[in-house]
Amino acid sequence: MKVKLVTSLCVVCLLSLAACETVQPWERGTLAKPEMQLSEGLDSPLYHQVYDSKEASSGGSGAAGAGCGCN
Amino acid sequence: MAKPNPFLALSTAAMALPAFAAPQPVETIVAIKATTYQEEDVPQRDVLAGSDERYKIDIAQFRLLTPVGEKWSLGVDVAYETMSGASPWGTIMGADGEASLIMSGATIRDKRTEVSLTATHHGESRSISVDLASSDEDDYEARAVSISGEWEMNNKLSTLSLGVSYSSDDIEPTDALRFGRVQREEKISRSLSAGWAQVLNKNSVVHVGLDVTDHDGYLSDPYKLRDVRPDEKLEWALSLKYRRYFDNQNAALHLDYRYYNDDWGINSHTFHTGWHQNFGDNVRVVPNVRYYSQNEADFYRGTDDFGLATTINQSSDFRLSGYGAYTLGVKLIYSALQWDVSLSIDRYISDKSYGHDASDQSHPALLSFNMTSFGLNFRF
Amino acid sequence: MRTIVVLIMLLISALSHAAAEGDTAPPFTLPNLDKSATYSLATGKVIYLDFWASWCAPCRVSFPEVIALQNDLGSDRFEVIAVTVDENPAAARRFLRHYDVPYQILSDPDGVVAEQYALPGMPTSFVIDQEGSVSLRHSGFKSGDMTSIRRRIHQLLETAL
Repeated sequence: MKVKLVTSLCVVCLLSLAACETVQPWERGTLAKPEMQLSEGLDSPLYHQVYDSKEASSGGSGAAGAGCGCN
Repeated sequence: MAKPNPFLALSTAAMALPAFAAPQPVETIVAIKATTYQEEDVPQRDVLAGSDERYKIDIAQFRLLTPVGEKWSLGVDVAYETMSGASPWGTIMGADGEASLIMSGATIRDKRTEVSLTATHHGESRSISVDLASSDEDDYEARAVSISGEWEMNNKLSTLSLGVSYSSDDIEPTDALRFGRVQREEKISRSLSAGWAQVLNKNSVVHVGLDVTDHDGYLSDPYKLRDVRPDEKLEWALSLKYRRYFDNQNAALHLDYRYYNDDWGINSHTFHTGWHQNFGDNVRVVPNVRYYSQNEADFYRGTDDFGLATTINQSSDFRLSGYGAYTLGVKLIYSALQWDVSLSIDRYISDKSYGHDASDQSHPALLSFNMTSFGLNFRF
Repeated sequence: MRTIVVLIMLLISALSHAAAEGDTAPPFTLPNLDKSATYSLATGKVIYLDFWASWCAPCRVSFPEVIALQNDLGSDRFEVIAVTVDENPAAARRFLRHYDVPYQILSDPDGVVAEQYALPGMPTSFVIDQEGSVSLRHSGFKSGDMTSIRRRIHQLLETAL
């Protein structure tokens, strides 16, 4: 199950890359919109802190960070 | 005097560099956020002893991000929390054949302060950052350092990010002698992370990330009556994020997924989706849903077995049981050129039946909470 | 066969550097932002051609400095032409409400002229001399960039005297 899951995720990633188009510098207006960003300000640290201390999982924020102090 | 389980985590993403962060910021940004978090009380019938009141936590966050000279930027994050409430000390079988909680008595307020500083050097298509973070509270102290870099490629349509971090935590449980708790313990965490952000077309972007962390040292909960965990944990998480803008609707869809796995036997799935709907030029409304599901740890037990030797791993911590959870949330944002204001409301509910691989018994400490946040950002 | 490949590569590199320093600035005609008139690139004055967009953060930094540039140098022998590549011109108009702009703002929502000028990034500006050649191409914008741009414009204005 785990192997199949990881494999299908890799396939999704590769397909996404294959689907890439060149976007010229002057065509990047939509990508610059705040609602198109990958993380939004102080939300990331807040929600990660809440969930990391109330659930068993952590990580997945896409950024390197300090260790979680919750036991 | 018992202690609540505070938010012990250092803000792992406190200085999260968003993808496309390689260029130096052009303006100074100041952000503040005030949050109130309230767990629902445990049903009285599930409490054998102690208080049924759970945590209430108030959090204040402050962030400053500013360019310095031609090639540098500096970030400062400060968070301050106050918390009160009771926490589960143990789980035992009640007379009715159902697991019951032994809770601590109601507690006095506890405080936590966290500060992190990040210095970033910006090159033409890459940036390197060093982050120092520190977290302090009555019984807990953590210090962390991390180094990360971002490289833009393909005419800035692709961004590679790599990071490494090291954290050292010390715990000195309060009332250790009185309750027979450990007096002073340490824990070391080391982690590596890698990410790739890719623009797919004018309207969509995707991000893949992998984090691997190793924890070494005292990993048990010292406030529980019986909680014995391995002195080592290796965990990894794979994350996918997708953003897509819809021209006709003037809205963006967010889809996030994370798969987590550790060598304590836990694996989990997290899905988060949000619809960012614009109304006119200034207003955005974001309804969002999060679904979480985890299975139980290898050494998880529904009730504590005080007959087992203290060297045998066991824990009845609800956070190690098999269950699922939903969060329903909505965020409202009003934006002007140099500032914006936001209000978020979230409700979280958990139950063993929501999970993909539930434990045999429902843990009475599975919680629900409500959270409300108010935020302000300034740019100048 | 090899000659053809070399010629094709020269052609490609020529096209991709269509507006590099030394080249003739590609001629164009664009409507202005409120659609009241069109403008065609002409020779005779030193021109500062500035491609910007409301969504581009460094563009916000450059705006007050470009306005100062036009105000300081007057419009007898020097002209700023700002071209917005905002796909939604309303966004550009909304942005301009915060500024008192003494020069022409043209609209290129489909990026036709941006492509002719092969902009390497946003913002990009071109100093074009009185004969219509690209004298300077500047990509990105930080406070302080205007110093070298002004120096080049002054050089061009002085040699024409």
